Amino acid sequence: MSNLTPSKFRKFINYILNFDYLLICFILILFVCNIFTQYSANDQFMDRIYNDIAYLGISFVIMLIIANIKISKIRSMAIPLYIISLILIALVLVMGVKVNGARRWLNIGIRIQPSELCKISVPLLVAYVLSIKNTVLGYKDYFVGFIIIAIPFLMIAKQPDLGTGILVFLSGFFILFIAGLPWKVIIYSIISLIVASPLAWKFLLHDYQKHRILTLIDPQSDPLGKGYHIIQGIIAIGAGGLFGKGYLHGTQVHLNFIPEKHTDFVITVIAEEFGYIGVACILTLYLLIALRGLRIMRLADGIFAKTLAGSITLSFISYVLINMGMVGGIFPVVGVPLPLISYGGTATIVLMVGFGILLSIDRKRRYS
Amino acid sequence: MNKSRVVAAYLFIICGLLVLALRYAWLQVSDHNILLQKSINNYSSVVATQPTRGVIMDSESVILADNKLSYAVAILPKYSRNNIESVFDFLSSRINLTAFDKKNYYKQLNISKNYDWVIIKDGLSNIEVAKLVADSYQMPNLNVFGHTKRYYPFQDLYAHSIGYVGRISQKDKSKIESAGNEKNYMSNDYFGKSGIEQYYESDLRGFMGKKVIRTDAYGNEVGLIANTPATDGYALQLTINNRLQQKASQLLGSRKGAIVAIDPQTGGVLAFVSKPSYDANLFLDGISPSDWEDLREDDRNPLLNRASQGTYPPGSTFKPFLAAVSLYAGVRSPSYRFNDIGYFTLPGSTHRFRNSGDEVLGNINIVDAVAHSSDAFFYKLGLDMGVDRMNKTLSMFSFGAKTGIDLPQENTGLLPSRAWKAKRFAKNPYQKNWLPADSVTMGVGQGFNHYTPLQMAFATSILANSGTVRRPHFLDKILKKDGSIYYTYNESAGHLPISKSDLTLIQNGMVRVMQVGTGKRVGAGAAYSMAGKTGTAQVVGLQQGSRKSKFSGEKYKDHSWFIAYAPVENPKIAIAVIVENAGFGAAVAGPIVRQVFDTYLLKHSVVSNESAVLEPTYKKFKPEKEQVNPIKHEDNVIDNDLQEEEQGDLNEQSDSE
Repeated sequence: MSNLTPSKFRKFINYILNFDYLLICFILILFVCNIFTQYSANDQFMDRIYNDIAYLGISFVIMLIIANIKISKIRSMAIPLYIISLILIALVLVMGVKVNGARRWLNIGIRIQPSELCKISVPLLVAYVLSIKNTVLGYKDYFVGFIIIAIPFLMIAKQPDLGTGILVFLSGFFILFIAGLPWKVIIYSIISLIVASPLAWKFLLHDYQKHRILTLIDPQSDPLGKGYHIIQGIIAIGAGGLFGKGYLHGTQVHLNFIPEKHTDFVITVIAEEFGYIGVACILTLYLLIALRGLRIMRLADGIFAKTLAGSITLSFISYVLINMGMVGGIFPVVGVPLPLISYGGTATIVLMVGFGILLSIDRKRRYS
Repeated sequence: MNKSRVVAAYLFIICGLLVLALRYAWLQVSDHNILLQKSINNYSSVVATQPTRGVIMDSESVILADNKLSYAVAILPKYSRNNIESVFDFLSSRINLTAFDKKNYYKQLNISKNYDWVIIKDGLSNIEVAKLVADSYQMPNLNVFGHTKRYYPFQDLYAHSIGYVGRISQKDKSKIESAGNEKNYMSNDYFGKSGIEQYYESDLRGFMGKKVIRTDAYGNEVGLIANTPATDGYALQLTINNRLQQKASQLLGSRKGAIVAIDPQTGGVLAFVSKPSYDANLFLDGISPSDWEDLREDDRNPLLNRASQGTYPPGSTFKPFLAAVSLYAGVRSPSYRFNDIGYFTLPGSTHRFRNSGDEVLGNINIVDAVAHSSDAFFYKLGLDMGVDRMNKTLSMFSFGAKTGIDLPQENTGLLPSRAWKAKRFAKNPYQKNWLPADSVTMGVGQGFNHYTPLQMAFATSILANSGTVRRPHFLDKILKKDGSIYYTYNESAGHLPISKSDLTLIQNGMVRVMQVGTGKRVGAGAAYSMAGKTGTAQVVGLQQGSRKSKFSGEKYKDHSWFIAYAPVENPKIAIAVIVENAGFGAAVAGPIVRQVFDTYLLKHSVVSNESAVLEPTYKKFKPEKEQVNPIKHEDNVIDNDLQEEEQGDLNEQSDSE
């Protein structure tokens, strides 16, 4: 305390207050939820919990570091990051580790999933490209943005990892959307997508992907196969009722009826043990975080910062919608973790990098 | 910046989260009850617990039908429908799985319920169990478990009396269903298939218990929710005496035949032997095709229960009974005398019905006729009685009717009548009428009439008892597990209308058989008084005037009969012995009777005590103290309401027991 002069102290307080501390606060509450949920989902296996906490801690530190990088500096990294991403994905296609018929991982001492990096690098580059000119954006600019999105999307879809591919695509698309991609284009694209979907069904989708979609339409058609995950997930959610079965007392979860209960199906743990109250709390936290994100977007300065903040926020909510929609039986089973609740890993770090960028954008406004 | 995009972004987030909130509300609030029940069904399963089948023991508590632990590997049908071949492959590399086992599996699968384990192989060795358990993670749906299984320590000795159990067949299943007992059996259970095991199935079986267990997603048991223990079956104590049974079986040796010994004062069966026999243990899990071929194609017919289902012409053993009823009917009197000239001819005929050995006995009364087995006397008696009277009076001795012994199957034998013959030879106008000659041959126990050794022993016991009828039975007591008596056999005795003095006359005749008559060699030197009668049952009709026929060889040799009881003053044992193709009754069947009697009646003498020392000791019934088996509840926090309902239901059941 002795070396903390009043001026230094004021500076420190200023520093703290200049963060969007509400956003950080909501994130930390979700972290607490994460640890409690993981404790139950991992059957109180402490080693896994320490590992999870370590991931959370590391990702939190990464967020703080990135929050302290000037946004202009982040912007300048857009092109190299994008190129590195493409190289890594190309390497995956050539020499990736094959798991369950899909090449998604690169083994360089540790296993990494380069497609996760694209969730940051693609929106970054699209926002960068759109922000080069200081004029009104034209179709040409959007087209360039589209190409930047399409290249990694196709490469990831080829792995095949349609789930991550769609998330990468969305993160880029949200930039274009917020930048002002005309509604006309969006509507025509959706119509042509619907028209093209039978073709895509026939030529693009893998059998297992088709199977997942079919199973979604009628889970009972294959109750012990692919439909099993969905059916057991829905039973767990419904069995929780309004107030849940009580912490650590979910039968679906603890008697192994739920596969991947600590990752993609983690919401079933909350739904079964804490009931609808628990689910509603989590949804509220997500909503609050998204509202902070959109506030940062609204208040941000310049097209780069605005579009990037919007994309990060909307992507975050998209993960929530896809994951909980999938477990709740309204989307096909795609491998998307529940943000900040699923067991740590690359996905959490990437999310926290995103929040770091959001905070950085916010700080720029506060200091300017 | 385009304002519409900001609005759209807000709308996207709010609408998206709202859709999720509604979807989860739908599942968690409106579908809650259905899905909660599904989650309960997921983890709780009801498992039946098997009762232990009651043991069967002899009069000295030697266990004749026991239970032993056996290990089996089983699978639930729902897991095996599609990939049973891979399960077979997995098993083949670890245990000895034969094509027969596979066939048996499919047979069982057909009649099994979906939630019953279907046994693929039973009787696994310890090594096989270890191998399967070690690799069980590869086949989590297989279940290796121990269960008690019937075991017959005396193999073939009681195959025709106690019988055997086997796995429930389609036929048994409908039997169980019609009795309303389907809740007390699982489709892979054992069921009494023959003999006493079948007759007393409901007493031996016991009642299944019910255990509600908690399982994980792989079907592993992780906890107990509620338990109603099984009630073990009752033990049966039979009247049969294992030492006597063993002795009797030994005496018949490798010959074909039967021995039935009864305690005349109670009707309790003391020995019940039919030879050749078979190992009852073979039938437990479905007899293998090769064993079945061996048994079925054996021309000695080991599957035939000669004692109660094999019928033979009674030969001369028929004579005491015919003599008794002739006195009752007034056709003969104690003072009646007859001149035996060695043969008998029907009036107006030259055909000679000869005495055995063409013996001439001279002037005899009815006692002499029995003692010396005068054929001529009984030829004439048969004729004088006539078929109608014989049919009516001989049925008093249970000839031609079931004895009512506690076995599921029994042959009535044949006590002929005019109506029977008319029906039997309906197509042959020359034979359908009852001829006087038929009565004549019937008089000496040949011709149409034939009876089971059980019937002969029963009739002998009635005679020994001076007319008091005690139905033959195996059961003495039904015991609870703790040795206390649940039921004791008692049935009131019947009485023949024949006067005591008439019966005494016949008894005297039979005593003289053993002293001076056809059985004197058998009776010589006995330490107790004995009454008996020899008999020889013709296998084929012989040509007039010849004892030699074209039918020679072992197969056509006469059957050797002997009926007897002892001691005469206070009969303790009555017996009928038949030895197939052994010739004259006194020669083969007689000595067997003597030895059986010695064994039974002299069992407390010094001599037999010495041999008792040498006897192997057999496992005996030991009463068990009733174990108090309280219902256990797992500490259960999950959904107490629903589980209390379940438990309440089970509590009621156990309380009512």
